[in-house]
Formats: sequence, structure tokens, C-alpha cells
Amino acid sequence: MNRTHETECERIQTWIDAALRGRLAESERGRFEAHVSTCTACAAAYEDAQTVHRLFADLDAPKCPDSVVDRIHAAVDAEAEPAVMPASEVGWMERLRRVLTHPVPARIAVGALSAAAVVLLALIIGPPGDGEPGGDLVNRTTADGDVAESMAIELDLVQAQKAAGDARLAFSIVMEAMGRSARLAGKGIREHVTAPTADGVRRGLLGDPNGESSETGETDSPSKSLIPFTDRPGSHTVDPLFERNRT
Amino acid sequence: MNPNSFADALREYKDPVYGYALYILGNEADAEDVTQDVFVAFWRHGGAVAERARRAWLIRTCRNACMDVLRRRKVRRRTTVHLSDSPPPVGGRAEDQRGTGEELPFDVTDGGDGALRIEKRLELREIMALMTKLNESRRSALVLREIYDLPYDEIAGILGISMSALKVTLHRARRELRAQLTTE
Repeated sequence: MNRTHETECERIQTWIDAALRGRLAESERGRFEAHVSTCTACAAAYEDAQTVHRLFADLDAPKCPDSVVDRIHAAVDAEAEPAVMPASEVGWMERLRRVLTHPVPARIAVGALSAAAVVLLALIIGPPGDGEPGGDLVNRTTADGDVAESMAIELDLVQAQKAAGDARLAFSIVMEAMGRSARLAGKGIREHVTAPTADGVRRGLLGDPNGESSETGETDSPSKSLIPFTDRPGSHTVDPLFERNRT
Repeated sequence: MNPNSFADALREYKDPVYGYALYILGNEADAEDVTQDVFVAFWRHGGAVAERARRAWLIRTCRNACMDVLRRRKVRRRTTVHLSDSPPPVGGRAEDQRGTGEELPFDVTDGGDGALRIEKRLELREIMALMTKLNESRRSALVLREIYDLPYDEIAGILGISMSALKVTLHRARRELRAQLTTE
């Protein structure tokens, strides 16, 4: 058998299925029949295929019983709704997951986070200035040495308000002020520290025409060095950041 | 997995999966068990299977399940005193049928066209008995091509062989089955 004949046999044998199912084109059918009539190997292959094809063609394909479909549905339903194990029988990760995904604790957590965000925002923005009851700290100073500390708190808050563009700076200032407030509260004079007014603080910083600020400014308090961006007593040098924010 | 997609796949492919398992395993109870296992596996993992690849995925999974059953049977046969070379009868588990003779697994009490149906079923049984003498890959290739008319490339993918190897397998399967028919 030469190479050309082998190639033709291979081609014809790939056509056997199509020939059995009547899917050969007219030209292919003629070529197929001509080859099968002369080639014994391809004729035998075609005969085998015809016999087997007829054998199966007379059979109905098996049908899956309804009872099997019912069993499949039951098995899948059982998989879709796994039994919930009691909390005592599951690990700590599963218990934590259940707590976090439970609707009620999740709502409480969201509420608490929202409240914390509001408080933090209020601290960063600072209290309102004018019109605040007892707002002018400078006019209400006492001779107590801790007043300088109270002044420092007010200055810090105003600095935070002015430096709102720099959120990180404002946050650090506020945190420092909160620390000082806590210390003063321990000394029982927190009632003197009230919300500042812009004018009052400015007078305290830049020098009050009535000279009242010098009384507090010259107080030798150990915490004076912690006051950020303020003038030293007797000096009118203003912090550039403070000035920029004012303008 | 989406329940609607699953229901569609079950409706469309339950018969080919069951029929393939029946031809490969030769008894209904095992074919039913395998069909159930295949669709439960499809429920678990079928979400990632593209719609056009579902049939091939299901039949390939069914083939793997059938091979497991055949392997277990082989082991059981080796460890059983009562050895038999004859293929397991159609209907009921092979071990259930052992020693009970040629029991008909089909309901012969139904009226109307019962006689016709029994004749058809007996033919099916005979063909399946002949099929069980073929090796598994030839049997699979014949069933998928002759009964379910799957395209060559899909069958080759399911069996994990090349197209040319599939053509050779099909040719030999037909020749062997025909030879058995003429000698019976």
C-alpha cells in the first residue's frame, strides 16, 4: 500500500461516522463509496461501524429514574442547609465570626464608631468662639499659677482651629491639650477653663492693650515650654504658620 | 451554586449521565448511586464550570466515579471465594445478584405494551452484557459516540486522549463488538 493510498484510507475512515449519519456532502459521498468498493480494509471498517450503529439505533437511551432525581434534590438540600453547631462546640474563630456577623452587635459597633468619629471631628475643628458663655479667658484670669496652664490649653485649641488645613498637626495639638486638661481636672480648676473666643486668645497671644496678658505671660510655669507657636512674653514675634492661617 | 443553573443542568444532563454510568457499570443500582454522586459534586464545584463545558465536566466526573466502582468490584472479586468471570447482571448490585440466577430487574407486570418493553430491555441487557467485555475506554468511546452522538473533540477531552487515538479506539471497539455479535 503506497503513501497516497494510506492517506486516502485515513481520510475515508474519518468520514465513516458522517456517512452512517447521512452527513456527507454529495461529492464526498461519491468519493467515499468509490473508495470503499475497492479497499477491503475500509470496507471492513465501514461494515463494523454499520453493524454497531444499527445495534444502538434500535435502542432507547436509558432514562434516569425519578427516584434518583428526588435523591439528588434531597442530598443537595441537605448540603445547602448545614446544621448549626452550638457555640460550645466550635472554635474561637467561628464564635468571633458569629458575633461580628450578628446583626445587633454589628449595628452597635457601627453606632459606636460613628459617635467616636463625631467626637474626634469636634475636637479637631474646635469649639465655637464668639458668643460662647464665659468665653473670654484673658479677662477672667486669676493669680493662680495654673492659669498659665489653662491659657496654654486655650492657645492649643485655637492653634488647632487655625491649622485645620494640616490635620495631623491639629490632631497632635488637640491630643496634647486633652492631656493637659486631664491634669488640670485632677487639680480641681477645670471649671475656669472654658471655651475661648478668638479675640480673647489673640489678645493673650499678641499682647493685650490693657496689659492683662503680661500678668499671665510672665508666669513661670513649668509647662510654658510646651505651648506651641506662641510668643514669648515681651516679644511680638508671631509664628509664621499662625499668621498665614489667620490671613 | 445558583439553584436555577443546577436545576437546568440536572434536567438536561441527568439522562446522559445515568445512561453512561449504566452502560459502563452494567447495573442500575450502581448507576443510580454514581449519578447522585456526580450531581452532588456538581452542586459543590459546578459554579466554576462554564455552561458550554458542563456536559463534558459531568461525564468526565461520572467516568471517574465509574472507574472507582469498577476498581472496588475488582478488589471485592479478588477477596471473595465465589469468583465469577461473567459480567454483573443488569439491575441490582453485582453482589446482591450473586447466586440468585438471572433475575429480571425490570417490572414485567405493567400492562399495555409490557411485552414490547421487555423485549427492548432484554436487547439492552444483551448489548450491555456484550459491552462489558470491552475495556472501559472502548466502552466509553462507543457509548458517547453511538448513543449520545457527542463530537469527537469532546469525547477525546473526556477520555483524555488525542483525536487520532480516539479514532483508533472507536475503530477497534466497533470491530470487537461486531466480532462478539457474530460469535454469540
